[in-house]
Amino acid sequence: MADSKGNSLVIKIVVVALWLALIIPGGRQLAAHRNYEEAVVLGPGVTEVKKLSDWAPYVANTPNDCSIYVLDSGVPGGSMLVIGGTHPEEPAGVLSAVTIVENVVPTTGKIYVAVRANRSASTVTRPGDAYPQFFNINTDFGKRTFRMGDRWSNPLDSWPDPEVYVHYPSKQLLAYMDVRNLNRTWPGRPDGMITERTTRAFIDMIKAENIDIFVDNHEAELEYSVISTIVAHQAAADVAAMASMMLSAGEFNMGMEFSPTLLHGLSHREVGDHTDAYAFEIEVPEPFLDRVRGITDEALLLEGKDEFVMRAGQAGLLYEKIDENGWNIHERVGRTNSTIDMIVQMFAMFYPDKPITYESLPMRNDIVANGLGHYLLDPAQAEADRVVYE
Amino acid sequence: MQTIQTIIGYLYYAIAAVIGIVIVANFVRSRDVRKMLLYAIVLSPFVLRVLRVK
Repeated sequence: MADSKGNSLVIKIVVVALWLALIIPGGRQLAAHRNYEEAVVLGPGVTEVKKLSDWAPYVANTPNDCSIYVLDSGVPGGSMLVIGGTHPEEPAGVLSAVTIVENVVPTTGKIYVAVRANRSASTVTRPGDAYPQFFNINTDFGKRTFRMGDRWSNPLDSWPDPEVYVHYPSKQLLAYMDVRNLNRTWPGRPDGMITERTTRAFIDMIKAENIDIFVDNHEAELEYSVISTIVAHQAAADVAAMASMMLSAGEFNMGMEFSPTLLHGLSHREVGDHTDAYAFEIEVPEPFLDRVRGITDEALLLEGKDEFVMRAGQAGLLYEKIDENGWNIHERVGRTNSTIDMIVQMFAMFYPDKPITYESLPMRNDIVANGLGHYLLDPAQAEADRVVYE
Repeated sequence: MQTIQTIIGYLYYAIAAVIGIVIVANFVRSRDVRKMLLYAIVLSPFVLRVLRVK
């Protein structure tokens, strides 16, 4: 009897030791990802860095009080807000925003950029789906490391989810977890859950700054029909249609779709309905998100090559082409930037009294030729007050 | 509304802690190695959530 108890105790100690050996390193990795400070270097065009709470005090001291980079030409003109990181598992949107902050010099009008619109969602990934925690971009000075994220805000910042998410103010019933989806909670509310508060903060900012053009950067799986396209609110349809035609005729295929009027919570619907801004969403292809993908790792995230997605394409199951060259991050960020640029150009054509002009935005051909890393600045070489951590 | 959400959030953390304690109690009482391993694995997400790691 005594031997049996002794054996049981030894076994328990061994099991606890094994458990600690797994949970301590695993927990440390998760904590390191959540607390990683991602550097953004202020380029020559950045005149001010504000916080989202400057317009909306109700997001102060929350993980989503993100930095808003202001690029003010000092010359009257139009104004544009570009947000990356609505879905941090779509890195081209984030990196496009970073290239704007680190390169663009405005010459007319004002540009606002949020690199991590849903910062909370960038502090969690999907270990169950084998998502990498970080990704690295090769640059002229070495590697720049960025946090990989998820589609939804971190449950540590918003828990529990409701049984059914009732969208405010439409009362439309949406999937429960989409109460943490920054692209299902527009226009939000100041006393809602953190993701709803974040979208409301952006709405308040857009109204306060009289934003003319609002661009929400995204990526999409090739199995999804809304891909390689600009989704536009009906008020912005003319601008989007012209941008789509100009890009498709001259550079690369970029479609245009109307924002569905009855599907609520999306930025292109609610920003257009609740503010005077012209709302656009840009979708470029990201094979990493396809459910039929094979090995899920940093290489797939950045190179966009996958034999299973290719096979799905050969079977006619995809809405975008894919071949052995895949969809690399240079192409995806480049297309996002060129699309933003074309939207700005077309907007200026329709509304010449609200011009937005700038220099040094890396375009698709530049990025593909020189590599994305060529357009990222070295935080180690920048002055301390010109580096912001997200 | 934010106050209600905060209270519900704390209640969920309390529920997670209670469930974690029950799992630990079952682990301590168990004499079957397979059940010990099972309890240890099941305990992990509760510990990570209560400690606000995951």
